[in-house]
Amino acid sequence: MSLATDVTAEEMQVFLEEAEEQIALLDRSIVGLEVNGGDPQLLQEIFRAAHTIKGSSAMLGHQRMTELTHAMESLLDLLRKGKLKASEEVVDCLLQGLDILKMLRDELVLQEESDVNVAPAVAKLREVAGKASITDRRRSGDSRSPSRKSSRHSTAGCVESAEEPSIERASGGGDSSVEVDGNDKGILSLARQGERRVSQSVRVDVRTLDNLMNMVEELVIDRSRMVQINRMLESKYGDDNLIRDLSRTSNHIVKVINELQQDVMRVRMLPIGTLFGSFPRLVRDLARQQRKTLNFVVEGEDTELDRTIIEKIRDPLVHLLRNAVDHGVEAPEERKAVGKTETAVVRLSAYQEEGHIVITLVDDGRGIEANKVRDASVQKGLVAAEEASRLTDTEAMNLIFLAGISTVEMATEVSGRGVGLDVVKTNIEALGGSVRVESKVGQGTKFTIILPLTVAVIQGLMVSSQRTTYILPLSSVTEILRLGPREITTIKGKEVIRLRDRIVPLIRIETVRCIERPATNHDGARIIVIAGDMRKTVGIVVDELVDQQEFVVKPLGKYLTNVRALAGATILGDGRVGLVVDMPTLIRTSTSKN
Amino acid sequence: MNSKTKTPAELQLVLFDLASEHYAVSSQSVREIIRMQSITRVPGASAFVEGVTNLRGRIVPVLDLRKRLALPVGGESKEMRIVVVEAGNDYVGLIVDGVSEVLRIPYSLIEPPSSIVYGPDADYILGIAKLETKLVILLDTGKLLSTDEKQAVSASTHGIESEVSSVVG
Repeated sequence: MSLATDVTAEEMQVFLEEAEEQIALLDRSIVGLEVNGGDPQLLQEIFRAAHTIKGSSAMLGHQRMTELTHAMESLLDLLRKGKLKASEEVVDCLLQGLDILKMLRDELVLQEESDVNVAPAVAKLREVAGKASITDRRRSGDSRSPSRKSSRHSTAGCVESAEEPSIERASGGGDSSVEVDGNDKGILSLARQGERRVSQSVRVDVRTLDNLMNMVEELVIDRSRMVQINRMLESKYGDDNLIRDLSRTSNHIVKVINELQQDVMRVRMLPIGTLFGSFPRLVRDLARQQRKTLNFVVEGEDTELDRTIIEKIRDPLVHLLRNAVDHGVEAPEERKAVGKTETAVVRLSAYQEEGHIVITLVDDGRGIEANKVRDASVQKGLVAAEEASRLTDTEAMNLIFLAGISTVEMATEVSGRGVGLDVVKTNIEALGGSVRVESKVGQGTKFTIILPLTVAVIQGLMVSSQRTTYILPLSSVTEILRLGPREITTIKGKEVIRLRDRIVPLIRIETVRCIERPATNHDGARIIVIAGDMRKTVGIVVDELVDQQEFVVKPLGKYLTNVRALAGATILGDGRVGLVVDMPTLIRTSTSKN
Repeated sequence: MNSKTKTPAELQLVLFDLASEHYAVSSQSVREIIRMQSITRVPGASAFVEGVTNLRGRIVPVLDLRKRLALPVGGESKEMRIVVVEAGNDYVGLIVDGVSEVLRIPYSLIEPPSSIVYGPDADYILGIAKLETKLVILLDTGKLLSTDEKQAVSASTHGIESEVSSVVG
């Protein structure tokens, strides 16, 4: 059981990248077998993935991997030919094989031998393949499989295939001679098609992309500076030929930089399917564990998103999915009792809308009772009883994103300890996004996550306060007011304003604290940016509104990370640095300091 | 490359002035020296952090070295420079009164610092170079950030980690 290392590091890299791709594909598709069992295209895809890994691992001399993928391939071949139906057992044992396959891959990635034994999995795969003949004869008369749809679907396939007397061939499932013969041509041509496609794309190291992005960002900054200088030159020297040439050239450069920026951003985009791919398996396993039957639908896998966001949205999504399966969806008996279909539907969709990516997670489960959330929040002392009763049901439901709230009394292994939804919200907000929930008791729950296309660029409001320029991300700004001194009152020496029926404290960005009554009188009107959510709202006093545009956010560096209310910095058109405010933190810290 | 085979007998230094004293950092850590430029104050940062500046598209924190070394605060002058040094993977700018020269001196001229003169906290002082005309204090750029600052940094990273783990849990 030695690790195959008689290949160059580069070859190994290529192998691992390819294996990664194929494993991801298997991960995605095998679970799909349960739902649309006999789908020939799907089966073909899975078969090809296993076949590819078998081939390349053999080339590498990785015996255990070859042995395993060969057994999987043989079983898949039977499925493909309709000699076996994708029963729960078959899918289980394929998934088990896949898990072992992943362990083998990890072994190679870490260059560290662990005692992964493929024998039991291979034996199981062969055993299941061996049953093909029996299943064939029985013609799946008894559909014990809980997923009715799939069994009916594959029954058709079985009846068809039963016409040819293929029992001996099928029984040799574990034998190496079952290899594809007639169908090989099809695979070859498909493989060739694949080659042609591959030749048009190149694998690029992510770091190279990041560097590229950094350089483009610098260009973007220079672009704004150049436009400014140009304007200044024009106003100073007016209609000079040289100046006009310069403007024309710089206009062109600006155009090219714009396109370059867009293209580089597009290169960094990945289809969200790369993330969604692993979810069907997760949901399936959870549902099994909870003895719930559900149909997990994934939509909009092609939606593209910056890879940084894709990486960071994973944990929040997993959390919401777990919640949906664990708490959202009822057990089959319970569903039946209230007149719902036994199989619940959980739908995860992604789509683009006006420069944002929207991800929704909808279940048709029991829903959230607004009053329970109200009670829980009051009990935990998160909101005053009076305040809670004033909230609309939707507002009350969104209190579940506060720390420590769980309406489910019993904590299960999966979730329900009241830890998490607040972190989900924090993580999404850290990406410049937002999340909200809607629900109808008895009908289901819908989580909506809105994300920016990329984290590097934000829509922001440029303001100046005490001679420093700040960028307030527009996602948190609700309105902007200009108030006269009469409209500002004080409570316990702290300045507040009345905004419709609410009392809103005024803060200054630089102090992250409520404003004490100033010693000097200010008689002019003041500009106040209102920001926050339905629970915490603050008015940020600024000296001037400068502009509203896109800003490239850069990290402040590790020496300044203890500055809490700043998300980063950006370089302004004139080369100076503007500070990007971390609005959720600003709002949280300023209101908790009262 | 050579440093592996034999230790160089000389050290190359960038010399600068601060409150009529002479200081130096190893030229290896110096990335570049720029004129004073617009610095954006960062609210909430340590007192000796003057703010952040734009170094060709990069956000660089700038320290007021006088404040950091507890020297008397001085006025502005045309000679003032920002010495940009590399600290780990980051750049940090140090405001100095003026850069005087770049010099090669043999190690034999460097004396270790005495804790009697500089106090026990001055671990950012590498030693004193005894030149013919003046004494030059060698600074360890890596240690110019106070321990407090570093603790604060690691504390905030820790907070993030625990948040992440609770999402999964």
